[in-house]
Amino acid sequence: MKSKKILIVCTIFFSMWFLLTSCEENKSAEGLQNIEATLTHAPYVPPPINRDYPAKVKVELEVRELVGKLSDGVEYTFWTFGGEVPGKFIRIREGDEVEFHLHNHPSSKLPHNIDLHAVTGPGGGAVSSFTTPGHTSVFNFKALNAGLYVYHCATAPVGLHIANGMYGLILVEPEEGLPPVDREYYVMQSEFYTEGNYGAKGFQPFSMEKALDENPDYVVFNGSVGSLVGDKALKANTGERIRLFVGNGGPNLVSSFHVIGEIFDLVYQEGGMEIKQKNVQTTLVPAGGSAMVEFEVDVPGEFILVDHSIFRAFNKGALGKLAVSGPDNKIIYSGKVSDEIYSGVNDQFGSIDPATGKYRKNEEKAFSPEFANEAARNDYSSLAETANSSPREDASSKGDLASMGKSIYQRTCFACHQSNGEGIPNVFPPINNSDWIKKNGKAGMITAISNGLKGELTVNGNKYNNIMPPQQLTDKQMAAVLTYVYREINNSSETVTVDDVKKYKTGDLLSRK
Amino acid sequence: MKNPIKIILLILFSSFFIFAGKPQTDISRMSLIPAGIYTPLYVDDTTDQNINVESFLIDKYPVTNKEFLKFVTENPKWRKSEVSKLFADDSYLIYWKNDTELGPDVNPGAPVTNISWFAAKAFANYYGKRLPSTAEWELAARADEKSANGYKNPEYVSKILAWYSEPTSASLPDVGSSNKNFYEVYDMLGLVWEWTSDFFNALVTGESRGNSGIDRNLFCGSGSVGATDFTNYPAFMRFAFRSSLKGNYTTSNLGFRCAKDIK
Amino acid sequence: MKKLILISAFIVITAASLIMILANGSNNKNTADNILQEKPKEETKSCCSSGEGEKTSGSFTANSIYQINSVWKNQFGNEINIGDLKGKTQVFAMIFANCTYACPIIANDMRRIEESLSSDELKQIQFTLVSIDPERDTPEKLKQFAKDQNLNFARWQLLTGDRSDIDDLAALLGFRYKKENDGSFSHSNIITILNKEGEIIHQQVGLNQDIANTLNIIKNHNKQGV
Repeated sequence: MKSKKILIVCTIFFSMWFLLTSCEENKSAEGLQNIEATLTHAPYVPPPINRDYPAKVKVELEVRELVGKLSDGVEYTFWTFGGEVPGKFIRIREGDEVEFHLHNHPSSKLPHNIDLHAVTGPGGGAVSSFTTPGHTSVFNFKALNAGLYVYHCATAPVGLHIANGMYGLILVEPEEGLPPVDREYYVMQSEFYTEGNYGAKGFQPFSMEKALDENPDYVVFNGSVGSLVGDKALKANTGERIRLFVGNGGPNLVSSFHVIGEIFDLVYQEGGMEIKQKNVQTTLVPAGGSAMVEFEVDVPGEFILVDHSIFRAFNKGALGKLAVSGPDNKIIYSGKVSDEIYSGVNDQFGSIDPATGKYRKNEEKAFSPEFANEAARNDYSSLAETANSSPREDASSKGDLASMGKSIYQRTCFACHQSNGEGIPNVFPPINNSDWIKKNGKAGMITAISNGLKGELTVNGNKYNNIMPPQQLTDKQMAAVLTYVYREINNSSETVTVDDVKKYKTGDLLSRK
Repeated sequence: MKNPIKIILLILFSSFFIFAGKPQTDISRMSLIPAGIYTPLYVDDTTDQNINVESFLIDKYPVTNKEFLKFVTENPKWRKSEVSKLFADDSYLIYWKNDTELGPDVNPGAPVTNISWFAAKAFANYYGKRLPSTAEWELAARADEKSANGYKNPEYVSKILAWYSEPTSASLPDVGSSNKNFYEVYDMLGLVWEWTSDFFNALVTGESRGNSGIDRNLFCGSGSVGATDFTNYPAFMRFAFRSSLKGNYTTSNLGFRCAKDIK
Repeated sequence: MKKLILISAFIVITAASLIMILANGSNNKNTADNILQEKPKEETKSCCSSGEGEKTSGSFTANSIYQINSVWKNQFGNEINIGDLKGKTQVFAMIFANCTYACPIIANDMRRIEESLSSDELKQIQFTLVSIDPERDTPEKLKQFAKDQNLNFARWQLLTGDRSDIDDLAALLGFRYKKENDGSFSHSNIITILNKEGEIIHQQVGLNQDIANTLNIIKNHNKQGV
């Protein structure tokens, strides 16, 4: 028993020592200040970054699987980053080095990970952050590109993990920071696919069938129906400038984000920093994408946030509110100033159909060519010409075949056989001046491309033993790429035709010798 | 300073993997699974990778707290205070009161969880059994109540999916309380995850450059590349779960059962 | 400020642990004796190459993978206990001899490490390949593989053993593998550096990697060990 105590004490001793020394190293090696990131639940956003230097930022995020409210009386099991949907908002600065700690709570049923679209590296951190229940993964990345990025869980089956709520936003502020505004909010749209239809009470399991059909029952902002209405509506005062960080977790739908009664003064399209569009009514937010929108609220009242794919707002929950208080501004918006009788006589559009007694649209006038202007006619004729000529990949002359072949070669063959067909020594055989090609000819190459090649083979005296997978090419593409291989890579005048391909492509796997 | 540590380590490890007088195996609580073919979730389409599974015996129930307690009582090196961190991480049997008592809050008849692969393997060896291979386990789990292959039954699949989507409950019921399948094997899907002998053949690693077929990228859309059945979500989830494990990992919803060759 | 707290905690703990160790010194000795008596026949392995038989004792550190205590055969057919690897820095990998792609590259990567170290440094280092294909990889087969790869038996050993022991080792190293129907294996490409106690101090993942970092770690460990 006592011995064990010593072991524990020693372990602590050593880990402290290690911690201490490693901290020192961090600081001296990189000279970066260590900062713990402040994370917030939606709709709140961490405060702007006032640093003008990069730091070493520690981000801690915990995965929890929790039953919660999807709508009144409707329960759902959410898989969350930080206990709520959407996941916590992370705010860092361009150039920051992030030490990311992903905790998976012991009560989780499943392993999870995180793919941050702000990360440059394989899987956006997905591989390094793959974490079994009751464990923590740590990985580091440097924020190279400013912008507003989505993060999400990417564990297979990825659709299910996202459908259950595993997404959020990470803002990488540019070095110079974002222009100051009066208020910032975090709004993220997503869909839920439930066994029961919209509003069906009680616990609702995930419906795989509906998810595959991309037919959700719920399309919501910030994780549940009504998360941004009533007491929970976003608040602002007249005269203030608002910035919304808008994300779309998907998993399937693209959002047509719109605030009823407002025009976005500025939209950072798709969450990037370069294109700032002015005076936008509705901005597209792709699944797995974002946008930053800014506007001034000039008049008081309730402004409705919607996905303007409007049935989603009306029938599926994609609706939130921004409540603006302050004095009226009658010049910008007057309110109703009069209500008078309108008789609807002198109707130029419709008249009563005697058969049905219903208003019917007046007959349309026949199309007159004089309406079409000169430019439009020109456009049409040029279009017609294009339609009559053959598309590029239909080119049948040998020169065109070779140029089409070039693009196919670069897409399909280049990675292994290299740009001039020289191959990679001992790994992938050359196809320029190859005795194998001379010996096996068109038939050999066609068979190899359509059926793949496996096992040991000797090319120009060197042995190779690797796998060439079958290539998914049409007969014409195959003819083109082989013609290219002959003409451009082997300086031959040989041509491979579609007929050649048809003739040889059914051949069996080549002999391994 | 160094000496006491060495001595402690001696205590901990001197008698690993030594079994004095193995108890007799009781096969009355095992079911016979007839030979069959298991198609792994991921196959390399250049070779036939169906796995022929010989017939074998598998425990009808996951191993319970009570059974595992008996094992650690008889094998002190697997007690939670004694076990090496290399073979079982810090949450090994974390919910037990101490080395030899479950404590009042632990249901003795519930499946034991928070055990490592090494511990499960040692348990199986001690009783003259072994862990089932992934192929064997999957073959036994494929059966629903009425047939040997329940994956053809959408209701069965959605039932499994619903269970996988639930967070782990704070306390587990007795073994035998969830599904009983065609082979009279209980709780394969619906109570706890279970270790398999070759869990590490779920090939997902941190590497992306190797070219040995191992750089299968489980994540994101590429998770479906090469999969034999895109719609078998439960299979994906088990694959992901196994991929996330290491031999000394223990989690609150991971238990095991044993298998045995027919001889 | 934080640093100050850390330092003071550090000092307190150091003091506390020293006191405890002093207080328990005699006790521990007794325990150790008991354990030594309890210990099963600890045959002293007639180890071939190392000549460091005295280091092949039964005591391993808490993180030493040699605790698995398994018996293997080397390329000469001699029995090797995994514990015999203790005492040298190990450059360690799992392979199979019939492998046509990755394993020769792993061996080559390890040889690149070998070639980048001075003969002095190499005295403390052993290169060990463990087969994951015991059905086919007999000691003779492994010997042939070594010859094909120009491996120097003064520093290299190739081991084959039981499936269950291979699995234990794989699980400890985080090495993943899967047998394919054509008899080959899909597997991780990992070179593990074990310190003289058998603790994992570094893993190089992938093929044809830059070995600079691995070399640094080996060299630093060697220096500490002297």
